[in-house]
Formats: sequence, C-alpha cells, structure tokens
Amino acid sequence: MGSRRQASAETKFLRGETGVDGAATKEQVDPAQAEQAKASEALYRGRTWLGRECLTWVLFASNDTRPIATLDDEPISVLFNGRLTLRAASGDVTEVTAKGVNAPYAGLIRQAADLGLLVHSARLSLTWQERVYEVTLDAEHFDVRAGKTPELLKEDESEKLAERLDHVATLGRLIDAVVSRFIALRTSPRWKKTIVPELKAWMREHGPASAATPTGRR
Amino acid sequence: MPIRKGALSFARFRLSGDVPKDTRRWLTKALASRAFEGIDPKGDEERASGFVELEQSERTDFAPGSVFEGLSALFAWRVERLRVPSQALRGQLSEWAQAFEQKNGRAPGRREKTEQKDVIRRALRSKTAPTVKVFDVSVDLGARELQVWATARSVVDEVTEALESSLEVRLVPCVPASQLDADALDRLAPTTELFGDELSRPAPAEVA
Repeated sequence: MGSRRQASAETKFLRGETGVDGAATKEQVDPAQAEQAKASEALYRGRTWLGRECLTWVLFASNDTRPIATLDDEPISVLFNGRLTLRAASGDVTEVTAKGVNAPYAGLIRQAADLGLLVHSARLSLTWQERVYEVTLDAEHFDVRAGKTPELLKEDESEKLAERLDHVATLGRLIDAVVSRFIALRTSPRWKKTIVPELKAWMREHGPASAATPTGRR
Repeated sequence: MPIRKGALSFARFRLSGDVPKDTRRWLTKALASRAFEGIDPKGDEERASGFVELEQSERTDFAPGSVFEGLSALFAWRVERLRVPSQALRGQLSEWAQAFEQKNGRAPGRREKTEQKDVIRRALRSKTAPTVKVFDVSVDLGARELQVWATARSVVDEVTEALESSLEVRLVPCVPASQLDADALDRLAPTTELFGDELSRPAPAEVA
C-alpha cells in the first residue's frame, strides 16, 4: 500500500499535477463555488436578470383574465404551456425544468419562484385578433425559438412567403408589446409598491396544484 | 430554408443608426463587401464564411430581384468548413511509417513523420469536399428589424458583426433592456425581493 501511495504521488508529479513539495500546481476550485460564480455571471450577462423578471411577471399576469398588453388597441392574452425553465442567481438549486401542459401554473413552480428561481425560458402562446402564435422565449436573448404562426392562407409561393414574413413581423410586435408593458410597470413606482408584493403573494399561494386550469385566476 | 417553411427560430435585432434613403443600394453594397469566398483547397484555411443569395447559395451577385421581396431583404450567410478526417490522416501516416520501416530498416524520425504528415494532409485536403451550412437572414426595411435564422449564438454573433461593419449601423438585440435608454437602465437593479439576499453581494463586471 505504501509503495502504491508513493507511485501515485510520483505519477502526479510526473504529470505536472503536483510540484516537488507535493503541493498541487493548480488552484483547487470548490465546485460549489464555481457553480455559484457561473450562475451569478449568467444572471448579469446582458442584463438577463431583467429578462427573468419580465418572463416571471408575464407568468404571473397570465393568471389574470384581463389582457396582458395591447397592440394596435387590440388585446393580447398570453398562456404558458409546456416546458418551463427556472434559474436562480445562487443557492443549492440553480436550475429547475418543468414539463407538462399545466406545469407552468403548478404550485411547485410558484414555490420555486418564491425561493428565487425565476423564469428563464418558457413556451408561450400569444393570442391577438383571434390569431394564435406560439413561441419559446429565453430571458437572455429573447430569441424566437420553435415559433408557430396561424396557418397560411395564400397558395401562391411568393404570396405565402409575404404572408409568412408578415406573421414574423407581427410576432415580433406582439413580443415587444408585452415586454413594453412590463418595462412600463418595472420603471414605475408601482413595481415595488404594488406589483412585487402581489407577485410574492402569488408565489406563496403554493398549495396543491389545480389539474385543469391555471390557479389563482382573478 | 427556414424563412420559407417550418418552425420559426431566429434572433431579433433593431437597426440603430443612420439608414440612407437608397436602402437597396446600401444593403446590396454591404452584402457584396462581405460576399462569400470559398476555401482554397491548396491553402491552409479550414473555414470560410460570407453572404450569399438566399435562393442560390453559390451566388454572390445580389441582383435586386434575388434580394428584395417588397419591403423585406432576404439573403443568407454561408459557412464552409474543410477538415481533413483525422482518422484517415492517422491511418495513412501509419501505413507510410510501416512501409518506411520495411524499406529503411528503421522507424521514421520525428521530422520525417511531420513532413510526411503534411504531404498526406494536403493530398487528403484536395480530395475532401467542404461541409456547407447556410443560415437565412431577413431584414424588414420598413420596421428596421433584422432576423438571423440561426440557433447557434456563434453564428448569430458572426453575422451581426459582419452586418454592423459593412452597413455601419448598430444592431440592437430586441431584449427588454433595449427598450430603456442608458440612464434609465443604469438606475435599474435586480429586484431583491425576487432574487433573494445574495444580490447584496457586488455584481460581477457586466458582460455585454
């Protein structure tokens, strides 16, 4: 055993992992600390924290039957459906992913949000003028992923392209309108006075999940 | 071709800066200045990238009829990679080394091996077809918005960098922060009640 230990130490020296004094040549990094640093860097990169606050507020607001925003004076309603990823700036749990049609509205998600795990990416459907658009958004880039538009009605290829590009533009405007509504609230005194307390109260309603409908509909 | 069919996946940007009245000429000139040029099989380049026409990704004429569709401009970013398969390289080098040893009664030296490796690499390179990837790009000239139809961030960054330098505009990502001016943004900080007490620690240096 002694010779095996000696061989192991010699091997480490020959590999350059330790110096002549037996001490490690590279700083040993605590994996937990490294993970926390990574989570914190991800939060501040490109102001991702603002994107997470936005998506979390949208999830909260989508519980309401009132439209979340308007575009061209027409209401936009949002529903979260499907996959949802929450991320935290720190803590033992830095990411949670939930799947399931009603998962976004489950009590478990609100409980996680109350612990600082905010919405980082989500699948949403946006309804406007009886048109439904589906999209996955992420808090860092707000890129459109796996977007779906209403069915194209034109038959001619060139007209189909124009119709599709029109839907692309509309989807962009819908996302901007929802974000704009959030920004207006976020930069108002209402944010800290009213909306954040309401958000926290909603997060703390984490009783057993309701199976069929989003919980807490007001 | 993602612009034409399938699920929509793109990164969104707003054009910020002066846009000339003759947008078509401005855009066509920019595309031509950063047009795609293929890899020279005799050279050492492993990668080449640049703008191409959307419908025919070998063409870089950018005739108005091929780029403009109403108020939209449609084109693509072509990326070619030429990599010599390492397994083939190792295999041929090993065969050569064995033949060398049989002929010369000794194993080849390091310099001999390096020289032969280069010869084999060049021969294989001339026989290897590059892999090609094409990423669609669309510009809504009316709304001054741009979409890069790629999911890989490295590609999105490369395309936007090329467009910013050739168009001489800034491409601002359509994120929540972009709806605020710089002063308003500086006054904002993460909401402590939502993120928790850990935010009382100093933030790391902002990564753009």
